[in-house]
Amino acid sequence: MAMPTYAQRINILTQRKHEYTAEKQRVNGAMDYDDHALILPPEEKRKLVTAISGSGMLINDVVFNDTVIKPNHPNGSFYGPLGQGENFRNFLLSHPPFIDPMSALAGAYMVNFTAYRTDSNPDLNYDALKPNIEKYQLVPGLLGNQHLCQDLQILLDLGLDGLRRKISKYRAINDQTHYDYYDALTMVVEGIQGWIMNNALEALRMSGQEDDDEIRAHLVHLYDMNVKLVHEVPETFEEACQLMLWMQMACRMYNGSASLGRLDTLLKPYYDRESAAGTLSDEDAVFYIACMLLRDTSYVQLGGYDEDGNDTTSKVSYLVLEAVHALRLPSNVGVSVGTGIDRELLRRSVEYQFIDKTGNPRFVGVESLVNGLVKNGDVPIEVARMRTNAGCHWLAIPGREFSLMDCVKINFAVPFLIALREAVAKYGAPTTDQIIAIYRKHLKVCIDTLAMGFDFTYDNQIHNCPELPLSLMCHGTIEKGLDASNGGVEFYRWCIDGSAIAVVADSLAAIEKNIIKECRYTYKELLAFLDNDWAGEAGEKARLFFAGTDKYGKGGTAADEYAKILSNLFTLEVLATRTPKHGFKMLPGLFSWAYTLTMGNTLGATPNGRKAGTPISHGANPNPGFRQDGAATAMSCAIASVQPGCGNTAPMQIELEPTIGREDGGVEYLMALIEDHFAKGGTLINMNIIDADKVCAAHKDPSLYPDLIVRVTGFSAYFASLSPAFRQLVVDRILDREIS
Amino acid sequence: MVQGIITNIQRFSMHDGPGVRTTVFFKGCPLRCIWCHNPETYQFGMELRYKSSDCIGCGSCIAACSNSALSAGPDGPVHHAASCKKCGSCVQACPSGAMAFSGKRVSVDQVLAEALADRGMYDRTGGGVTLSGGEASAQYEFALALLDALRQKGIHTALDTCGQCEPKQFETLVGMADMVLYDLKHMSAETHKALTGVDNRLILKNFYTLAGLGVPVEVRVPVIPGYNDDDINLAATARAVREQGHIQRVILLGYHALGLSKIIAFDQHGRNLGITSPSGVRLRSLAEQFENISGVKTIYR
Repeated sequence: MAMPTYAQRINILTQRKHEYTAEKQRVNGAMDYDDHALILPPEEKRKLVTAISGSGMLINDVVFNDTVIKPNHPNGSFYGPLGQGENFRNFLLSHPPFIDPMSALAGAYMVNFTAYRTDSNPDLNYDALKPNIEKYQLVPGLLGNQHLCQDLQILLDLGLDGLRRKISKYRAINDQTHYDYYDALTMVVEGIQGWIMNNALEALRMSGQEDDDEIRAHLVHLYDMNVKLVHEVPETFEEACQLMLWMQMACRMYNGSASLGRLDTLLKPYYDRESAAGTLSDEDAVFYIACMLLRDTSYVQLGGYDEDGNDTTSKVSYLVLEAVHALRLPSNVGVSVGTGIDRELLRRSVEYQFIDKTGNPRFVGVESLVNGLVKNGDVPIEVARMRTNAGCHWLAIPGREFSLMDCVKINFAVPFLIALREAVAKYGAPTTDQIIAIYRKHLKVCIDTLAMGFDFTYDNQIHNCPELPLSLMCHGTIEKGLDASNGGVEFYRWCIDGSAIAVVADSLAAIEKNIIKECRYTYKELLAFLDNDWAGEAGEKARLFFAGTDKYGKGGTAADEYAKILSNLFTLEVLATRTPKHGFKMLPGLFSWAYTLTMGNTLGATPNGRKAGTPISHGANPNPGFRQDGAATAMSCAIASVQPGCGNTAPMQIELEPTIGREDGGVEYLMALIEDHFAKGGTLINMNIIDADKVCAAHKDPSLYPDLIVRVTGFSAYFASLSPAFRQLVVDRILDREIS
Repeated sequence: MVQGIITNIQRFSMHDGPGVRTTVFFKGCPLRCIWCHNPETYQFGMELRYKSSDCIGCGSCIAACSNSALSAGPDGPVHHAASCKKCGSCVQACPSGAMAFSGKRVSVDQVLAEALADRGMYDRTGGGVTLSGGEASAQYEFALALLDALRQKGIHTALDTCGQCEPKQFETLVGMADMVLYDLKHMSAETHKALTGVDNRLILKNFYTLAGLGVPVEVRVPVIPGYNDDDINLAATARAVREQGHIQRVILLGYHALGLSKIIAFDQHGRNLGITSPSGVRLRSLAEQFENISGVKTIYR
């Protein structure tokens, strides 16, 4: 067999990816999170565990059954820099190599290192925060991690040996209190180098058994390339892709880290040089990028502003899009949209949305994000322009910012329900202003609690699971001997996301209509209905009245006004608060990520007619049923109106019919919708172009469409990998569109 | 302040003129096209409508009616139209919205406020606002005032009309609009009457008048298999388009069953004729023939 063409190789690789995915579904069950490109270990090496994911969710997972963990705590686990560093090094050195000759790049990752630790360091005490965390059902993100973006340029400039030299240099400069940290960093690099070498040797071993000349030559090339990269800087486009992939996979395994940053900008120098020299074709480049993205579903931003405000879109931006299109797999590429940004990149992206129907790419409103961060984030504009989409809804300045964006959330509905009862107890028949005033008081307690949590994480993550691999590629961490989580980087703008804004806005409007204006019910009756979860004939009747109130998103309604009030209030309170110990600023966003279900599970019935235990509204989106028809622009206006405007996102999640793409001008119309949303202040758009019949059929029997990919709540996943409850979330959004 | 009765305002419309548009559906229509699946737009006034799928059977509507216009029936409330004062008590009492009014009274300002929300989209796509229905020209004062208000805001307007309108009023309305979407359903007066309840003489008079009014016109021809899709009628329609001489484009609109109203109106005007949608192949063939005869670009949906 001769080496197949690139297209054939991609087909083979994607088919194998589908097989790996099916295996993961079989072994792990539902996976309500990003589709990672993790390949399960060989069966004889597997051990099933329950673990906490890199995003803090309880998941089924698989670890190596023969990894020797060296605990440094009486509870049998390992914490702190040396505990993490040494065990991660050993883990990497014991990681089985993986070579697929069809890929241009070596390696794949198999296990989440976090799965070897079931808990955070028990010596780190946050008891003082627990009462409010519990009372308000906060997602505090305590000891949250990896929601920052490394600056891979550091890796490309130094290489792995260069990083070790840098560590050594600054270890010699700084005092001994930092030695453990430096040693831990060194261990991480050693582990990565050893892992790469093992894979290189595997490629060599396989070449010795390969009959086909071309494939054998390729395997030898993989050996040569990776032996080089163990020590030296990458010199070619292919080598840059390989080294970045190794580091990204290592970071992913360490604690779920997920971002490549501005891949197009990072690869451009190599592309320019080699394409001019005739040593790299566009087809080569697309294939190399595809092989990178095949092995990890990293978040990537294409285009955007450089520090001078110039557009960074280049030919490589288009090549990354081509690679995503060629793969048609879950991926997380964000395309920049804004004044001065190449509009053809947007056009191509929209076209691929319609062609591929994989929820790719996403759209990043870079202009409104930069403006918001400058205005409210106290960040110079040159720096704000460098901020990069790096996660489900979050951004970071590569190598310079640590924010725990997307880790910390307030379910607005919890303090709202508390406030409602308190207002009724105090006033008997409160106005909505009175309810909101009390709500604001409770919201402040939530924010203050979370602020203390940020200080706690800042002080203590270093003793738990410091950001060792990512800190290798930050500015200031090695220089100061301080972890990115603990003072090593320049910017700490902690992010708090609000969730369930539509639940609360609709609830306030429902109270205003049914109790205050129409006197259909009393507050006493409402509270009784809520306590009984709208049970019984009278309860259901009441529920329908409350649920029938015009909703946020319809446009021009009381609920729309309440949504703006809630967002403004939240924004003002967050901006006015500093973390108590370190005085850090915090910035607000609106996002629920996968907590749409879990927050709903623990939330009682709400006055908008929502039943207890059912999902909350998704992010900044209106509740389903918000408008009879013409939903797309109405939703766009509504979500734009509640943007906090501080440089963090409040994404619009939108589902559209495939037929729009076949319309005369359909692509242009969708481009216009995207641009208009951002012009109104919108910040991020997650989109699915999806056929309702197909997704409903897949919901009944996922095996019918095993390769159906959806953008769920910011992340991209196989529909068949999701739990029924998560699939229902997507179905509900699409059916709401159909009714519209 | 001029008011009108509309059934709905639909945003992000892509099929009601150029660009992305907001379509205002006027209530009331002088025609009764047998294939219409928006019967809630027939009557000019507010109408009570009952949606059985939303009914929870609580009987609140019956209890709320002080005019004895509702009584309990085996399949839900029975409406006694003669007694009904359309006071809306039953609608107010209905928790689920099963009992509701079709149509709402709105002012020009109210419609304008909603239309302006998507101004950015109109600017980006060459879109605007389309007056449709029902039949917009049948609420002449309101349509005229709305067109004027939109014009003053610099918003592109399209008048989607069947043409069954008093000629002077028709000219005035067209003069206020930026384009016209004109329906031609059948060229035979007799058949037109059988299919729509009115003959086509006034419709054709206004159609030819359009030629001298200097406004862009797009003709829409609903293709209803078995009723108006024969070669004779389509050829006659194409010839009329050619003769008129000022048509920019023709769209053949294939009948589709999607959106067939499930509303069971009290006067039983919701009907399903069991018409089969024309295939894409058929529509393409018809469009080619139409274009050959008319000399005007013809597309289909």
